[in-house]
Amino acid sequence: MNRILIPVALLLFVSGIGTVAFSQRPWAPRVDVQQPIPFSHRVHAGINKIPCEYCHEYARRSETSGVPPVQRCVGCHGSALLGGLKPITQPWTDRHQEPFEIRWNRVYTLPDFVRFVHKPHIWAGVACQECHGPVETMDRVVPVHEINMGFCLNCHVKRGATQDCFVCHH
Amino acid sequence: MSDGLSRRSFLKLAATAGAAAAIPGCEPAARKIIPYVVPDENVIPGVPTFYATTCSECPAGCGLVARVREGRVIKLEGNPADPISQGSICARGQASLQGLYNPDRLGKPHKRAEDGSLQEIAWDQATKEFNDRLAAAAEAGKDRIAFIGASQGPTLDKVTALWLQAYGSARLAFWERIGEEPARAAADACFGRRDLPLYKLDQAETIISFGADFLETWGSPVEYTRQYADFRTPRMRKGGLTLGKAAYVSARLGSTGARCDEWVAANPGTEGAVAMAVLNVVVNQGWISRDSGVAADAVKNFAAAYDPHTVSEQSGVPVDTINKLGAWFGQADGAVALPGGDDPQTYIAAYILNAVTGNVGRTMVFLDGSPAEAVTRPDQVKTVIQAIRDGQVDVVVVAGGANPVYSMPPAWGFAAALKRVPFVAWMGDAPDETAAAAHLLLPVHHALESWRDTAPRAGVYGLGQPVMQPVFPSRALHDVLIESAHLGAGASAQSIPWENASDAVNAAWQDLQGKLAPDSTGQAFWDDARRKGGVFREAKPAAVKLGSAVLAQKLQPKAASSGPLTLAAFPHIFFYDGRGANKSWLQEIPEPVSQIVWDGWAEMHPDTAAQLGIKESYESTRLYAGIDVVQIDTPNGPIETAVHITSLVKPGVIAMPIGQGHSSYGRYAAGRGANLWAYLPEGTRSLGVQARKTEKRHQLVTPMGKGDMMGRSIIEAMSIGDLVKGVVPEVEGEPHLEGVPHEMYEPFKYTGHKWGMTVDVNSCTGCSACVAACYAENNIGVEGKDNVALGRIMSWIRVERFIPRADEESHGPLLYIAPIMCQQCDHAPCEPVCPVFASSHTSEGLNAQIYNRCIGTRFCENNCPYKVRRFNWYAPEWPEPLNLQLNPDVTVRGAGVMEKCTFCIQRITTAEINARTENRNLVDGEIIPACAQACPARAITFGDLNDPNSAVLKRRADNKLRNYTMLPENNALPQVTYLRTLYREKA
Amino acid sequence: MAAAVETNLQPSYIDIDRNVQRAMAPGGLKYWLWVAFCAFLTALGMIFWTNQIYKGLGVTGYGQPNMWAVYITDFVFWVGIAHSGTLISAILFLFRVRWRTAVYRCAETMTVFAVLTAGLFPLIHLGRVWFFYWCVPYPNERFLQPDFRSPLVWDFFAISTYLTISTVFLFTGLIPDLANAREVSTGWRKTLYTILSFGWQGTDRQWRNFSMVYLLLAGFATPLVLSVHSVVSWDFAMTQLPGWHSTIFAPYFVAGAIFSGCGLVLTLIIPMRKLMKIEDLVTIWHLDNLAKVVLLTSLIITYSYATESFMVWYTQDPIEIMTFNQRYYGPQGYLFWMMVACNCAIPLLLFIPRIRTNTVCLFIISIFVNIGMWLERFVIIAGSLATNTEPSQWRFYVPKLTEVVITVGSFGWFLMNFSLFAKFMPIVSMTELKEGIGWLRHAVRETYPYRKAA
Repeated sequence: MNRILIPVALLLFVSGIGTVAFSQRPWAPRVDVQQPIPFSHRVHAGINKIPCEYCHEYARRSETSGVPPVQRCVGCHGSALLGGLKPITQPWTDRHQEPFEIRWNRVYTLPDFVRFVHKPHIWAGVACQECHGPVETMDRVVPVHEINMGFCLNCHVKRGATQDCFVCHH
Repeated sequence: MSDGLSRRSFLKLAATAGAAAAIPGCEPAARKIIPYVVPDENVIPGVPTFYATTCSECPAGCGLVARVREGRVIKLEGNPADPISQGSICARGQASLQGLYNPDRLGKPHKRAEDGSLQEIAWDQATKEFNDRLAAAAEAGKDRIAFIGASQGPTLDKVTALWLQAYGSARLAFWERIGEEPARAAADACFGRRDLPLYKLDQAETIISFGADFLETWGSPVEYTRQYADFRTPRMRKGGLTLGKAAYVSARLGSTGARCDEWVAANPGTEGAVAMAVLNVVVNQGWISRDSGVAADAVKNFAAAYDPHTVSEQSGVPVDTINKLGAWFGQADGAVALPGGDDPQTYIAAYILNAVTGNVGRTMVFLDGSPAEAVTRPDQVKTVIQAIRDGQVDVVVVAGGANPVYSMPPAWGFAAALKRVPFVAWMGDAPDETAAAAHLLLPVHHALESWRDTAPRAGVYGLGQPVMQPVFPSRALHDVLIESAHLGAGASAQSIPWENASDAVNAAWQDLQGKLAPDSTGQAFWDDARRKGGVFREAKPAAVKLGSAVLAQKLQPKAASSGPLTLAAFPHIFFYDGRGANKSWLQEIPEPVSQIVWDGWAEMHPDTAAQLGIKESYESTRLYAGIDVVQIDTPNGPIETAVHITSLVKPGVIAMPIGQGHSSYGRYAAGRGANLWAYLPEGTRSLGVQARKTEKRHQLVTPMGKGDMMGRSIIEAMSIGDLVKGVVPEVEGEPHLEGVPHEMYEPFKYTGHKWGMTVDVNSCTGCSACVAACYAENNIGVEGKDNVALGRIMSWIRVERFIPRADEESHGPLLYIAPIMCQQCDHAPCEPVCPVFASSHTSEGLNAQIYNRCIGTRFCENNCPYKVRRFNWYAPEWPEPLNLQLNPDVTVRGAGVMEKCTFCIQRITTAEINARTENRNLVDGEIIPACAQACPARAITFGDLNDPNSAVLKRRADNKLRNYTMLPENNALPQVTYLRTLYREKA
Repeated sequence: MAAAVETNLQPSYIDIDRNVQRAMAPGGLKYWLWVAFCAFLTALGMIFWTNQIYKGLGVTGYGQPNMWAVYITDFVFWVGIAHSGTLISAILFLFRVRWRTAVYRCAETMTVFAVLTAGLFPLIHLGRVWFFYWCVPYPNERFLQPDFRSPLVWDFFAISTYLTISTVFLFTGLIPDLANAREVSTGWRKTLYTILSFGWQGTDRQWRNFSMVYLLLAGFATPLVLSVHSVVSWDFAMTQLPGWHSTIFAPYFVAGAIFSGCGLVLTLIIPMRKLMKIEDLVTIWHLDNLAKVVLLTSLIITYSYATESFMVWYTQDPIEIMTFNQRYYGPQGYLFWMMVACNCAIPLLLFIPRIRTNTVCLFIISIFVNIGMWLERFVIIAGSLATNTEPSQWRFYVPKLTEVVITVGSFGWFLMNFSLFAKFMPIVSMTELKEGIGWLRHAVRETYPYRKAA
């Protein structure tokens, strides 16, 4: 009898433990997102202390923070480097690509049914790093936090911000 | 353009994204972000920009404000600065977006091959062909080229004329089937001036409409709706609170008539006669105003032939009704008669009626400096067509949305004439019947993509500017014309001094500045006009006097030609003359009175139907709309159409909507009903016909269930008498509920805002502008006829129409009409039944519906007493490029989720964020839901119920007696209240 | 055969064993054809469901305002079916009702598979079935739990509890019989029964524990008979919809459940006892008693219908009255009258002993009972929704192919499971028959004249 029962019981037990363990595994950011050009946030935001909103200029005014126009690069680089922009904006990934058209790869993505607006968060004094992590120390940006509903809610609860579902989901 | 902005890549289904997000650790795939090289200074991605322009859907010429996100116009509103629209537009105006993004628009130029098929060709090739043909025609001699188009405003029409001259032709016709000719002719006859009068309905105490559906398509509906709402709000007159008297003389009770006190069912075509009879009563009673300066007996003689009795026989209107109308009109302090239809006689009668009662200059005003006639007179159009028929024309150019093949009277034989023409060029956006007969098709900009100016009336100079980059590789119509003029006409090239249309418009406005604002600079004036959407000045009323000549002549209003039955055609409120039929919103929104969608139909009185052997058996069908098909034999051939049996049309009359029956006008207009223009002779909208039942069946479709309110408290009414006395009426079908609210627990405290709405049913005319606006603002899917038949219409706000029972007619309005949307209940029945909190309550008193949490049990809709929730049976679809219209602030719902009205939460949150970041309080009126913003009658007021002096609370307080909530016995405590509609007891 | 009857007037333990073992003998071609047919229906239903998930619920006839219709009707129908099983096996056990012994195994089996089938329909009905687990409380990062105010969440717990208890109850009862089967069978069957019979030896201790466990489980199951269907009825009674919002729903639904359940037991057992030649075990006397239960419950629900209508009239609530007016005389009123015929009129025939003891009549009547009870749920659900508080949203529901096929598929699924079980498991409880052998002999003697007549 036990020849049968004990293995069965063991199997159930192990699989149960396995499920729990799997559900508790830590979140791992996807680090495989390569950018087309060797742009370093560490150099710009870290060493040269360029404020985030100098390039991501819309964060304070709009729902998107905005990716800087290539013109913004020229502001500093254009004159400095001989040959203008080509050296810095020519994608290393693809030699044939139009140098001024930088095809950045998205690092942070939200599903379509979430409406996240940067504006109020900046005005509420939320530092960029609270969600995006210490970008100024990264050469290539990788996510530090898993941006999921729990992450948002934790902060909303902590700061006593609204918890109406409707505010982000409509 | 940063891809990060289109956070909702528009056609993506919330469901699939939800699946992705629901699985732990599975992130959406990386997407590309491509920044500007040089940013556009005026554009902040994610923040809408607003451009003022003008509406081109009908000649009323409302001003628009276009909301543009990331270079795409996503919503149109009325232009508050514009005296005509004053910040609200009708459903047709809202839907012109779908004209812009129409999936059936022509992308590239096309040339018709020998075998009749269309071949795509390049633009330069097309223009070359176009110009060569013109040149050849010009070679051949004078006047070998004809242009037929819709008017594009004074400047561009001038350009067109010049271009035609450059090719040595003067065969120019600006064509509108629903034209101004009768009004102008009558004005000419009566007052010796051919301009159009302005009506001030709010100045009147009595309004009698002789077939003028002034709340639907006649004249300037937005403006008149607004004025009429004013007119119907009770006000102190002669020392008492009174309600303006309104009567509607027509064979069919449209939504205009539904709002009047009296529906005078006259035989079609006899409206003029009735007007004369009223005049007869007025003069015989001596109600002629002294200062009208009209010889009393001259008028007496004039009207003598029309004593109420004879007219009563001819028109089927009881004598005492005519006397009553006369009394209403003659004794009113300020009255106006509105003539409708295509019969000049009706207009003359009405004008005289207004004149002799001294209302010209008061409720009916002529202005000095009225713009020149834009539309060509029918007789001149006829000469052009005659020339075409006689083969004197080598090239016909049809442009700018005019669709003569569809809309010209059958007698003119335009289609046949066109076949004789060796070369027909069509220039427009969406190919129509005329395009189907053309040899060369040139895609031109939609009005919202091009420069225009409008002159709807004296003192109003509208400026239409492009609000976005063209959707298709089309070109501006007049750019093409100017270019061809410069090419083709050699020496006379100088005749058009401008390089392109925008130069032309700009130049015109430089002149205008000289006239209107000499002290300002051209540039400043131009910029200001672009900001405001035009220049608006007070125009002086002209002093006009009724000429005596008109009184000398004998009026012979044409009665409907003989036949056992009479066909009465009425313009469909959404299709106007037919141009609206290719817009899916306008097809899907039910016609307010018949509530029928996606079809053409024939309305018959039960008695008439019985004679034809058709029984009304809607109760036993799943759909409360007709199914039997009749064949109607007209002098111009038979019409086959499904019958809808209703008591809202005069016995012996068959009422049919104009605007359907397109043979080639895109996917949405295809195969629906009959094109009545092809049967109606010039100058009338009624026909003597015979009809017989066929064995065919064709199910008409309506989202409306029973038209009987069963005495439930849904749309309530009270008499003006009760209002004066201060008595609140009892609703007999309602269990009486004492002292709402019944609370079991301590009610929830709303500390911040608490959103609420009030709808004045008395102002609502059922025009459905709110519905169209909701479709546009909230990405609501269009389901199509078959799905609507299954009850799957998605509109979050619906205009409901209930027909009073026979016993209610004496004490109630003619129809009950009101918009119904989610009532945002405090005790929301939908909330506790949802197993997953997808339907939940917010701290600001809204019923949130969280789409991405919804699993589709549909329990909420079962428990909703108002049945305002909508379920996505399929994933909605927007054929390219309609998807470009979607509002990026609103999730596109996927299959299997419930959705409903949100009070436009996206507008609320945006406003709240702005207020917070500018660290100020919200201003009352800062947040306007799409429906309230669109409503021309200002029937909808939205605001914060926690703000003691908010407009919504004020409106409720001012109308305490009329304020009620729907279906109170549910104790759901809706945050939407309604104000009872008012009616006058019939003696 | 007649001879066999003569000898079997005094059936012994051996006769019982022989009969059951014969019933469990490997099935022939006919049997497998039947199973294949059921499997085919099941597959058909699955295909249509897949299509529905893929395209959306639009493929059904659903629409405003008929948000619930055939699927929820099927759900309530199957849950109802389940109840009689538990009634017969648990409650009648506690009351020591003798005639249950022959039929209870069949009824209990039916219960388990009916609940399994019923459990499918809330899923089939969902708009986004892939998120069904959001109805289940589980820890998540969203801070979200199901709303325990929602009757649907109560449903989830009620049904899952019911499934667990009745499965365990069925299996426990099986153990001694399986041990019996183990002894006589060979090959893989032997291994199967060996495993399932948990080394049953029939010692005193085992018997003592067994009967104690069985008693306890019966105790557990008994309240479920009342609670589960009450909870199901609250899906409707808790709403505000006229026609649903009614306090008598709970007892009314339970009675209906027993009624339909016993009806289906008859439908299943009458052909089964013929085909499996166990007339000697499941005798007419047993059927007669079952029929009496059907008759009783039929009278109860007839009374409920009357009460329901009376209360509507008594409230004088115009909206309720209009709803019921439509239910009786509206476009789909004929459904209501068909229901009355099937549930109230036809079962009255069971007052006649000759009909109660005539298997053919019983079978036909039981079919009517099933139809009637399905209609009852449909009339309540779809009918009330179609005539809601908002006249402008009235529209009557007509099913499309998808619903029909999926419903038929559910019968296929149920019958397939039941047939397999009936072949591979002892469908009649030998243990209990032996316990009450005296009553079996009584039954045989009772029914002798009818058998003779047959």
